[in-house]
Amino acid sequence: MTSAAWFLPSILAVILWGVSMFLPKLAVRRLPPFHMTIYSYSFFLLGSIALQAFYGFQIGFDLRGAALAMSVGIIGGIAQILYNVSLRVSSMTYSVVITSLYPAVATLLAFFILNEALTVRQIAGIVLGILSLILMVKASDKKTDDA
Amino acid sequence: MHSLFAPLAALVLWGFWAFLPKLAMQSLPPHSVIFYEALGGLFVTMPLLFFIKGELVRDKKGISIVACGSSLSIIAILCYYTALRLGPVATVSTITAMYPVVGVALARIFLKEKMNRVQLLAAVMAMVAIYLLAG
Repeated sequence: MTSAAWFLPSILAVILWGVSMFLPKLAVRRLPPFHMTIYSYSFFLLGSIALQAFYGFQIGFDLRGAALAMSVGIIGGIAQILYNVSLRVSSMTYSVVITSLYPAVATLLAFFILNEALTVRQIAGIVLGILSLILMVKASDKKTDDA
Repeated sequence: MHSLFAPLAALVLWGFWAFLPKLAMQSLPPHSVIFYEALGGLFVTMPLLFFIKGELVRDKKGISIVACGSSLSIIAILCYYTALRLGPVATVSTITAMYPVVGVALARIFLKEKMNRVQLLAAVMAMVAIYLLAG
């Protein structure tokens, strides 16, 4: 295994995710947030069907797993609406920085629901995340300058 | 005017969104989870369609941008899974967690969004927080 083998797809994921967070800011100027969410999930559904074709339509079924995965879609859809609304009323920097802290919530859920141990590093990450969020909100009311 | 409710609620919901696949993948492969996730999305889009009485705004440029974003998002997920398969999970997840840097940089370059020094400090702190959480 060479480092390049995993490094390239990692960097591609960073760039593609970054661009996919940016594009809605352009689209929200032309489409209302609800409409954007409908289009976005329609294309996501088409993409997921194409993905199943790639895997030979071997879609497994497990009631609990399917219900959980569908919950992911519902929750993600509502989150997407809120992100689009946020992009409409705030700057992209503000929306991206605040929402990017979601791993802190996922870490806390894993701690409370799965009883996964929290490391000192993770606790530091959560505390720093909360502080950065407070700082971002407080700072966003101030006049911007060229930092 | 910055509203805190929408991004904060999105942050909490995306926390659940990031956590639940871990439970779903205990019994289903990743590509199946993506499929059921897309089906679950219908429970959001169908009521929305009903709410707007099916009268979707048909702005070709806007729709093209959304289509592009969705496609890139799916390719990004595939790249992420490929990287996870080939490399160490801790390193891959730490590197990929830095995607907000790209978003903020694009906002700076194309939207001319500027940050004051405190906002810049908050953004750097957020990235360090993500780094600590991903490691």
